[in-house]
Amino acid sequence: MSSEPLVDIRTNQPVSVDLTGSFREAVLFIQDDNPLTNVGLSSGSAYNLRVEPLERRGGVPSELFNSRVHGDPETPIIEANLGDTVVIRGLVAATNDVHTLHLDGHWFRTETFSATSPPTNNVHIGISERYDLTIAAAGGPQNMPGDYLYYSGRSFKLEEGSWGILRVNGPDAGISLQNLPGRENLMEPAASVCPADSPSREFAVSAVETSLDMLGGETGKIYVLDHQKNAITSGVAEPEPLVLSVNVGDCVTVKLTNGTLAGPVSFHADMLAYDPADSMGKTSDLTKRRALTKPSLWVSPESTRSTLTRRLARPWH
Amino acid sequence: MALGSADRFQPSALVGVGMDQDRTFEARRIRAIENNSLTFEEPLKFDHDRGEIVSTEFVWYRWFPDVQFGTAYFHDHVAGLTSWRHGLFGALIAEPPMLPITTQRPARSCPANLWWTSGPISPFP
Repeated sequence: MSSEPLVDIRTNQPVSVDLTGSFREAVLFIQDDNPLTNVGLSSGSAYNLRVEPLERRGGVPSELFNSRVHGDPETPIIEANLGDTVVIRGLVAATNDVHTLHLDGHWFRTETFSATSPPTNNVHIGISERYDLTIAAAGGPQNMPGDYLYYSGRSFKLEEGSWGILRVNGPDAGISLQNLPGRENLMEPAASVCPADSPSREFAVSAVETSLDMLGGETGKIYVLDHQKNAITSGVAEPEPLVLSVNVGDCVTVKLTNGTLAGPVSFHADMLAYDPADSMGKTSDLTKRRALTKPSLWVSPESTRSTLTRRLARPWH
Repeated sequence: MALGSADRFQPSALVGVGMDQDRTFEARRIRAIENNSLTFEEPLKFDHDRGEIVSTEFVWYRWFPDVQFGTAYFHDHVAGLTSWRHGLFGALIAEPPMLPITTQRPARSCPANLWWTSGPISPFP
């Protein structure tokens, strides 16, 4: 038997508490102690002895992860057809650091054979630890093909090149992956992120600059509701993290305006269903003071009670 | 198999043939030694070039996964703080019971033959 970190496993047995049957498998060796691409005081990092440093990609920050602009990264491309079960076997083959492994657009259980292990998209992995992350369906609860990022949740490790792509192919992708048993007919993607009957909630949000106590009074960037913008930037109201409350099943639309003095902003929400082509918050280039009304997010049943939103156009700043 | 010198070997020893190879490395037990030629208990499976290394300096680990534990990490334990960063590690995956079928992925992957059996898996004790 030959050795390969990317294989198809054909089985009719359980692979997790939720899933039985064949799957696409990817082994990710998470490393540190890589002096070739370390940033600052970081020890460095890699996935399977590969990195794709963001600095070397250059160009506009909003296109950093775009394979059409920079080509595919050197890190493993995990390929699957829409609806395939995917198992990512994360293992920290390293000596120095504790790592996190994050996957966009999908959920898994930290304890793969425990029905009470809640859905999440990020796992904390210590030295010599390993976690087998079983993803029920490539394309996520939104059932949409596209490139979804996996990456280190530690921002400087991401900057060093610890990121890669889960590439989910739709039926018209023209990719000839051998079909898994029971998936001879490829799935059709969903027509829209939100079900037709889902209640709609809309939020008008601005990214602004203001003085922050946690920065010792220096200027930082925060999200605010549009109607609070003037009060916060003028100092009348105290800045605080933006919390949007929605219900499971809601179709959420965020209108984002760039109110900062310079630099792009975007809006990336974890553990919510979205279309990777327009609402991942990685490739939108909101550099001018205009509103982006595209993002639509669906609060799927697997969403946790709270999700983190952040800017990902330039993740290390 | 003819060697430059068989002085280091003795009958019944387990030797690795092609220690500097990967795909064609194989291990055989010596049945007899005559002059500088080794006769093995089982025939060699691969052809070996002149100059390949024959040696007893390898370790053969045998493990039995009795449950589907998923991923196990194996690694060097002599100088891990330096060797791991250079790649001296790997993973052993205990998969769910598999169907005896060949899988293949295109382009960037090589074929993997995956088997499950209840029969003997090694001629060696």
